[in-house]
Amino acid sequence: MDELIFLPAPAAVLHRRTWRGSARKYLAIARTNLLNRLAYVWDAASNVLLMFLFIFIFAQLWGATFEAQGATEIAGLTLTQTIWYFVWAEMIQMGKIRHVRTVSQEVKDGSLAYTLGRPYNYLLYHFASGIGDVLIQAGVLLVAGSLVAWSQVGPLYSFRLETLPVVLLVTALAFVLDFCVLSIIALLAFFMEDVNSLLFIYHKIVFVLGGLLIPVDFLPDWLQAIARVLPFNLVVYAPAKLFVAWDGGQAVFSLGLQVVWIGILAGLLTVLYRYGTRRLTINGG
Amino acid sequence: MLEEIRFVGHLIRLNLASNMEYRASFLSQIVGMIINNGIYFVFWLLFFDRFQEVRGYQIGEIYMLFAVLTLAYGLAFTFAGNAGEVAGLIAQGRLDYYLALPRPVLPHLVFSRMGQSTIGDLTFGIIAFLFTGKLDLVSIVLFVTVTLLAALIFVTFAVTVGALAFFLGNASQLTDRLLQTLLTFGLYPFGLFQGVVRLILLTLIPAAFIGAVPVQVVQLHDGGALALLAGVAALSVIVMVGVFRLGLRRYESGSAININI
Repeated sequence: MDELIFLPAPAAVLHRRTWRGSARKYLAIARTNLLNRLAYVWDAASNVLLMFLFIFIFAQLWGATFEAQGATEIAGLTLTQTIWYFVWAEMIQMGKIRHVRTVSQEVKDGSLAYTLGRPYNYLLYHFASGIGDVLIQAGVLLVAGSLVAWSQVGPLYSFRLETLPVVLLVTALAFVLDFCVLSIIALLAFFMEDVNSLLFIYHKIVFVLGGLLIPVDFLPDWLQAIARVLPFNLVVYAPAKLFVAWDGGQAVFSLGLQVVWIGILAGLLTVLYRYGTRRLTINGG
Repeated sequence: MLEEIRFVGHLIRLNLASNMEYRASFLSQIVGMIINNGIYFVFWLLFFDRFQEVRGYQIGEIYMLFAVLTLAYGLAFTFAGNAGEVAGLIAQGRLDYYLALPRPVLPHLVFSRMGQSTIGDLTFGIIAFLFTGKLDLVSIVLFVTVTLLAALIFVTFAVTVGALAFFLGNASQLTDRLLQTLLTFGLYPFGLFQGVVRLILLTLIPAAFIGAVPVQVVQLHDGGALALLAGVAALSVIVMVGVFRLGLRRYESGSAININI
């Protein structure tokens, strides 16, 4: 159980300014959350039912669509690739870090002030804490989705094992990018009473322009052009497409765009966080 | 019976007045839900723009499907706002409040709360119906009838599944997931599903009766399908009351003091 306890404060302060110390600290946070999540593995497995459901329905819908079109490929994707695309896409969507409600609540009720004095960066804490959750959720969801996809359309023959590290990297950056957007939404609670509507709208944009309900390649040309310049496709479409239809050039392009967008959004997030914490007011004791 | 209907009407009026106290939150939730449904609708617009037809469904059927399903869902969970909360209330021992009062437990429990965001579904359903082009008197009467029957099936399904908490302990998550399953299957063309899955959607998870069958009734003015739908709705009420009464015998008070707001 000792492993579950955070570093004692003096050690944490000592390590605060070193990269290794920081990494140890946030790894400990991630590991704690991971172990915590493992204790409630059935709760994590509850999303499995939804994963089964979504992939099954997508398999029926797109199976019927390919059949009706008499096509073996639509916009460069076979039926098998399309269904496996949704497995990867839903894994990202359902496995993402969910910290908006916690952060926005802490901003609204002022309890954020108590955490500011602790020896860690508030946002990095939530990221590290969420990553533990992501690892469990994504793993379970991937297995569940793969079982359904395999039973419906067979194995994904186009997948190349040697591309997996880059696909995983693009997927990891997708989680980071999504975390940045969600954190900005959460911190807007400094200025707005309720950020749920913004969260709602972001999720829905990802549904269409992010490629969650329909691959971006299947959209009309004018909408594809819009979707491809916005960051939302980098959260779901880019990693899922690389998983089913590897393209080295596209991988480099997606990675570059992800880094640029993460840089922009992280900068915005930092400014918002600093400005917000300066405005923070605490009432009572 | 008449007195109970009056009682339910009174509960609904009180709930509506309570919701209107927080108008900004009330309206933002409604608008949010309209956007939510609109996005799914955009998906189908894009889909049929490219593929025109899938298993007998074209965009016209999707308009009708969304109209019936969102209006029925909105009606069900706006007015019977506690229908989806039954499992949690049982697990927390919060039925005591209803058991102690001289009114029938089930309608009192189910209509004690009013949904807010579901008014967005209700509004969306009416707007979607205006796009169907089926605005003749017979179609409108059939649409209203099938929507009410589908709403009844939504409520009975939610309460029946929630009442499983009497036997299983906390079934809140099960209720949520099964309701989502019902809704998700209902929102897709029924022709997509074959074999055992089709059988399940006609029985255990009656998705066909909240989507495909009502659409068929309004689109084709199909009296046989309407009679079938009415029969299923009546049967679902009987099953709900039976399961709830059976479960209530096993109910143990939580001895908790609750304040119902």
